[in-house]
Amino acid sequence: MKPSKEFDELFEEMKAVERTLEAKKNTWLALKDRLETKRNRNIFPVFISLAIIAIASFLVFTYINPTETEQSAQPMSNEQVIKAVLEREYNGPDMEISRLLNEWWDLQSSTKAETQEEYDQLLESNEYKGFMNYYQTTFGDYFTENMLSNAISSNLVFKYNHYLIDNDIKMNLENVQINQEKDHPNIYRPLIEVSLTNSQGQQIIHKVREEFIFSKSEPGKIGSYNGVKDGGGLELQEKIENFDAYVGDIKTPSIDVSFDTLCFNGRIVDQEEKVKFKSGCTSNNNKINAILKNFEYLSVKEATEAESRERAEALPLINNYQISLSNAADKETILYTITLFEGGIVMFSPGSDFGTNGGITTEPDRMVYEMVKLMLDEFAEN
Amino acid sequence: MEIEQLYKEHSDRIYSYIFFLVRQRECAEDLTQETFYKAYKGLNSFNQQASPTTWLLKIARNLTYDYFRRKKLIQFFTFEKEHDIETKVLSPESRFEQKEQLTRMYDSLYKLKKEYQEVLLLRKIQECSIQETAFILGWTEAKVKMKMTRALEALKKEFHREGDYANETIKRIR
Repeated sequence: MKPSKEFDELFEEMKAVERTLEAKKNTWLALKDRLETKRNRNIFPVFISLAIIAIASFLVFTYINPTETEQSAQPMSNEQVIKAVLEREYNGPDMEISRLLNEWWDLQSSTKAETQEEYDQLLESNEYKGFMNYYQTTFGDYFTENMLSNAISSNLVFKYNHYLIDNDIKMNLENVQINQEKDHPNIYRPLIEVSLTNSQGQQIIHKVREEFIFSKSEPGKIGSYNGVKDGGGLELQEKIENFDAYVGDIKTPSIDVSFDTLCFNGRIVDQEEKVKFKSGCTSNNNKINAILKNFEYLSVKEATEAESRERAEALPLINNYQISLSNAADKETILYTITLFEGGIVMFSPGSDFGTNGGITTEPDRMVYEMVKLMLDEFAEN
Repeated sequence: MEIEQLYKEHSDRIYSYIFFLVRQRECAEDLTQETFYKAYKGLNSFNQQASPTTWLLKIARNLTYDYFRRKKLIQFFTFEKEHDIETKVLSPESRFEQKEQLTRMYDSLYKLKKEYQEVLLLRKIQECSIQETAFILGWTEAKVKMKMTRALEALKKEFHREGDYANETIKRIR
């Protein structure tokens, strides 16, 4: 019998999970209570809003002078456009967009809109227009109309804002390195370095990669704005939400030893659930650099002794790849060890001592394991 | 969509999904509450690319993993251990009251690799489509299909494994 059919009856039984009406109601009441507390907290006193408007108006009138207006009339280079977008996106939180969103949300909550006509009327409200206009005034100069509309609907801009507010974290753009594609000059992939700071002043640095494609029909405007797959955006969100777990000796791994050979030992479980071991060595600089590049943007923190010990114990039991760096003339002397676990944990360790000086990352970096594994498998000898 | 309506329509399903993972009623209720709280905060980013259920399941999954992480569980090798502990909480009183086959099924499932458990839970118990499962797990549809086939094979092997069950009567489902 096919396994898919064999277990159907049991799976069917497993679907029935008992949950009392009382428990369901209690959870709803607790949730409702939290939501109401949040809404009340978000209501801005009118005088604060007025003060913000007054200060903003003052700043606008004080600092905008004819010379600067003339300067801003100069077309911006693509790099300047990218920088301007990143400055808005990665310096936050932006409390204005949050206030406008709350106003729009409150209006929707307090107004009945059961028909399309009623909803269309809501879209004519000052709250909705104010909310949408803010996107236009913030990003309208940099994106094509179509892209801006896509960015709003798919939450591509201000994408970290509510995470920052909810977790009381400040984000600052620290550095941007803009790389233009050689073969496709309209494509730019900046490497963005941001800092996250909590209310106690503790800080984490994180790097993200994104992609900007400039429109051919509207030169100078971004026609496509994408997060790069595995570019670090998810990890950034994870760090904002779980800041405390990452704060500490966060650093980017630096492998400061001179070597010319990379060897590896891998343990994998194949499709038949059998354990297999792989190994190989290369002295090809291009291959070595390509592999090590994967670790370049990781943020790691020092593992505790207990963590190192637990992982050392787990090592013989789970899928992992261990990379050792050495010199061809003396392969036996390992200068540096990098250990990758299937679950996305990477450990760096000078010499051949496993773990004690290692760093850890969490599940979002699992892709690093998959990527490096493929690259190592290319020169596996077995 | 109003959060209350969302809760009424979907909370039982979200609860059952979380309960399967954490095996504690109180904890499952707490995580259900947290899921809807997150959903409320993120309603503006819900762009209808997925159904509300799929979207909520994805939030629930992420929250449950965060919960395991917060408990300082090192996911790749203690995740399963944690489940073992929780499964044993069911025994011996209630385990013997359950059907033998069902008990074995639970035991077999918890012994599988985490990704096999996940894909079986979503496809077979939560009845998610391949596309929905891919969205929730962040996999490609091809990967879901492949893992599903292997998960079922592994489950079959585990379910009929002798040794652990050497003294038990093996009943096959027809």
